[in-house]
Amino acid sequence: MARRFRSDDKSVFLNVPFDAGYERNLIALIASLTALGQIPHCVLELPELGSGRLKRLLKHLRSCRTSIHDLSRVGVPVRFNMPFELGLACAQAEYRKPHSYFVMEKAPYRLDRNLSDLKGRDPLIHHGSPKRIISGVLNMLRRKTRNPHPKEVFNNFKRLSGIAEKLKHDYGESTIFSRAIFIELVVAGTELAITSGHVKKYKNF
Amino acid sequence: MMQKLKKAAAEPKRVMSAASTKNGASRKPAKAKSRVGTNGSTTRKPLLIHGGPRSKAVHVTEKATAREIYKALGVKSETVKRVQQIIRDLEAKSWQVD
Repeated sequence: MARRFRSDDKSVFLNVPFDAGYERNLIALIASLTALGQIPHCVLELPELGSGRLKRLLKHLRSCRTSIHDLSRVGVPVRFNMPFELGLACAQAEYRKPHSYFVMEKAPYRLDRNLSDLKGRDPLIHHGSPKRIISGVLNMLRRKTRNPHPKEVFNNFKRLSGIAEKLKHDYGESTIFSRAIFIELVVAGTELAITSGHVKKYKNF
Repeated sequence: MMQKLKKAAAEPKRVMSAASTKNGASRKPAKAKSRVGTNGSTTRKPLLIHGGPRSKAVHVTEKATAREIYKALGVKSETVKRVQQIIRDLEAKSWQVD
């Protein structure tokens, strides 16, 4: 019997481009989500066990209550992965309750032309800047009380960037888009959020 | 008559404030209705949709503890300790540079 996945209220699925130019933005996303006490997930996290990428993707989407989709990579070579995954998230929000999704874009009004079916939604326009991504994510997932200040999160982002460089060096990778580095970055983001007082510490760790 | 008209024209027009009615009696401002849940419902229930049409309510997120985050990622304590050591090393290095 197929295992049923429970959607976790605190899990956020990240649908972002995996290229060197997006590294800083992914680190900004991890810093802001961990500061908010959210659990960032990415398709990189699941090991390839022969089931294929799409199955891994669906499994992750199903287990996350929220997803963030960055549609800023347009141009040649054309990448259809991000819009495809956004479509999966839309279908999940429509037919499998509950799921909420956010859309991010680099340039204003471009989404209206590129994906007119999504008209009427306000994408987060970040202009490719980690600072704007941080403030945007803090706005999108804002709680009623005890919200982290963008400046604190930006400081954590800068420290996390240093940790990312160290991890890349340790693992001999040229980018952060690997399973181990992603997971350790989330751990580092959580540790930084603990020192800033945004996340509750677990005594056994 | 002309003088009366001139006087009326010179006087500034009376502007009715939002909180007063035509006959001068003050009107009680409308009380803000509590909208606890989504779609205007007053019962507390978890949010369903965000990032949807502009009229939708804002998502109120729950906060995970470090334990929950590590459990969700399947991280062992050794990994956490190693990352903590990296953070400490980098902190020490930054102090040296300063």
